[in-house]
Amino acid sequence: MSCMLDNNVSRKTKKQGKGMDIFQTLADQTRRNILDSLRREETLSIKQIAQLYPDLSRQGITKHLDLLVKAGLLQTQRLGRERLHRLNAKPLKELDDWLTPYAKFWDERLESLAAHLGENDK
Amino acid sequence: MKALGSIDKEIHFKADIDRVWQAITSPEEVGQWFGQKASFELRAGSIGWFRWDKYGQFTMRVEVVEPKNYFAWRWMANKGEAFDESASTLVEWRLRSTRDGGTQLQLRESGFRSPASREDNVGGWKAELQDLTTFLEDSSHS
Repeated sequence: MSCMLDNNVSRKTKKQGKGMDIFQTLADQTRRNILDSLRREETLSIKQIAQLYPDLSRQGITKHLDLLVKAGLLQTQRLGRERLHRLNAKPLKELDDWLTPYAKFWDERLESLAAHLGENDK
Repeated sequence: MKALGSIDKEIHFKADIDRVWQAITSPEEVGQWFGQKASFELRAGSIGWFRWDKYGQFTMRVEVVEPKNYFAWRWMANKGEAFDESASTLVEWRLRSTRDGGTQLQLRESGFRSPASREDNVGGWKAELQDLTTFLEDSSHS
């Protein structure tokens, strides 16, 4: 729901050209898992990621990684014959900022629910 | 862990689980604290709406009803839109009783898309920003 009560909404949404890739990229559970793994590990090679996700084919992993790179969520670095992947958290920060007004909306609704339930009556 | 691209909230109520369940699933009650009015039937697949005097009416669809434990619905981002699952976000309410007789609520809204990804709906989004701007201006003057 977009009728949020935050002054920054209009300003933030105007520069959302990049944001759409992130939402679509993050819609996939496997890609979210890979990012979570990269939050824990500094860098991961395709081989290491394959070990973490034995159900995925090498091709499948490469496809997911390419999409993550395109969305600006991963940086890559060559080390000999290996390609290492590192999380770039900046777009995630932008995503969080974008979601802030929505989070605020829910804070207000839950406060209202608490009041409705008489939680504030002592 | 917090899911990426979703909103997670958690809150504890002193009210027991029956009371909280009632408050989040009865349209009459939801109309009292969520918006100004709500209409839906408490069964999966029911199409309903939430209404705010200021913002308008938002279409929703009840997804899952597991009495006392789990309630989920989807809703549209823009006012007045007919229900379209692919353009909706999912709102999930999980309840559990706590030792003190109260209730823990976990709320999650997921499935957000940035407005730029919804080219067919740019007009709707812009109209809403206009409404929002008007709202913010109104409230800053009052």
